[in-house]
Amino acid sequence: MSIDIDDILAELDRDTTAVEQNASSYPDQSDRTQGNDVSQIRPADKVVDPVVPMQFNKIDDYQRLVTHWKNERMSPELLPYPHHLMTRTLIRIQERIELIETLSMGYLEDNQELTVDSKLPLLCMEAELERLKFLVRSFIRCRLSKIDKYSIYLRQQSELPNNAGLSRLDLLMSKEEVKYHMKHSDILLKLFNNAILKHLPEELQAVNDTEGSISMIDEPDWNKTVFILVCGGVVDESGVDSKLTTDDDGKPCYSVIIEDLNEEIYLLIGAVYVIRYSVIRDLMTEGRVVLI
Amino acid sequence: MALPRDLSIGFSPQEIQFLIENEPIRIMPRITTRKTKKQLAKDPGAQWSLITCDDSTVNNMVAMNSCEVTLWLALLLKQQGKCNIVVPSWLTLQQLEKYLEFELKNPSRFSNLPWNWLVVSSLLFARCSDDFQDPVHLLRSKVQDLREVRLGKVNKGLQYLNESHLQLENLSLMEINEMRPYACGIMDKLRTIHDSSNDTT
Repeated sequence: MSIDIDDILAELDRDTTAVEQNASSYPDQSDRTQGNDVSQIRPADKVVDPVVPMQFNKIDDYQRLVTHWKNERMSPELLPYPHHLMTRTLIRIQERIELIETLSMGYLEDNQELTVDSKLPLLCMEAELERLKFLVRSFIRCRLSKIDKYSIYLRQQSELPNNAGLSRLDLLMSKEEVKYHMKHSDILLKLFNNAILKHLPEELQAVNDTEGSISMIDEPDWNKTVFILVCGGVVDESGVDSKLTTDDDGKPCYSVIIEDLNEEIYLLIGAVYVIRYSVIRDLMTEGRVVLI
Repeated sequence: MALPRDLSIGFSPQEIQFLIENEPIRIMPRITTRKTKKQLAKDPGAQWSLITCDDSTVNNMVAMNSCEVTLWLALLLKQQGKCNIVVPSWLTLQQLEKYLEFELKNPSRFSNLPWNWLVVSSLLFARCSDDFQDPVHLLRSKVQDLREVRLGKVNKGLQYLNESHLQLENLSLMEINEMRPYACGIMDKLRTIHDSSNDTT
């Protein structure tokens, strides 16, 4: 169930020229959970307060961004880019910068007694902006470092016929990230080619050779050990969590199976586990567990 | 690389603090930001509008009426001398003593301290030591005791590292982050050994 809020985003976008609209029609998993109430609240909110759009949603959005950041930092693979969420966040940052500038202009003009009291909101708004900017920056940097690391793997994935070519890469990364990925791997390849590879025999010139003694493609370590917090709370239309079961004591939990060891584990809601990534990957993308 | 190497294996303590600064805490404001309708009509003045947390509470502060704001905002206000922070109920001598007693009685379990206790206590000790009812140096030593007891248990628990999984109860975020590089490294290695031994047989 994905709610399409593109028209609303487009309307907001007309006011702020500086932010590029780059999430056109991508389905966004992260928006699924809250999507319902967004569409109900939005139109009314927009009429009341055009300066601060999506007022009802901003706190949730921030929380979700924090979750995305935590997951991205700790997961071994590159996670899908939250297109809609990031567009909204970038719009908000832009508007906030403008608002702060307008406000500080007001202080300059009025030239009344500039007490600490009247400056306090401005101070807090600036501090908050810095915090949000840090979060976005750290998130993007983390993704870029993963794109560096898995560049050959990502390229190989996008070239597989069953993945419908580049569209998959577009889902996984933002426009800028795709651009970075392409350019960076080209530059690196050129360097390797000119420096070493062209002096080697022809059958040893490939950088993505998997036939040799060691595979040259760095794949994410799917079984990496991660720390998770089981949060649960994802419900479908009927108001129940379809994956939720109960353990021997009758407590609510998710049951997962480690295939290599043939072992079943109950993940209790609210508990912290150290577990391999491949086992909980699906639960994480659905938002039922968070990496910490 | 775009991300420093030491950040790619875990969070830095500053980032843990950042995460925990997003959580709410109760304060006693020393300023009044709530305006009557008359005042609003005459001069709207500087309004707070925040994009990451609820701004209606900060717009409705009344001096000495407690309200809940996020921790980073509370610390900022405290720095300006605009509020007093209400110390959480677990951060009292009496309560800490109970936790300590529990820790000593149950050598195999952790007491249920809030999962931000290390960060919150160190932040509050440093930034608002005048808001505590109990003498701060005693609280500090109690927190230190708790920390050491728990560290000992963590070290003892490391012998249970295995190749499948581990359940941790009541371990705080900071403590998890401290043991992460070691625990993850060992468990990854154990897993590799286990897998390769399975392959050959």
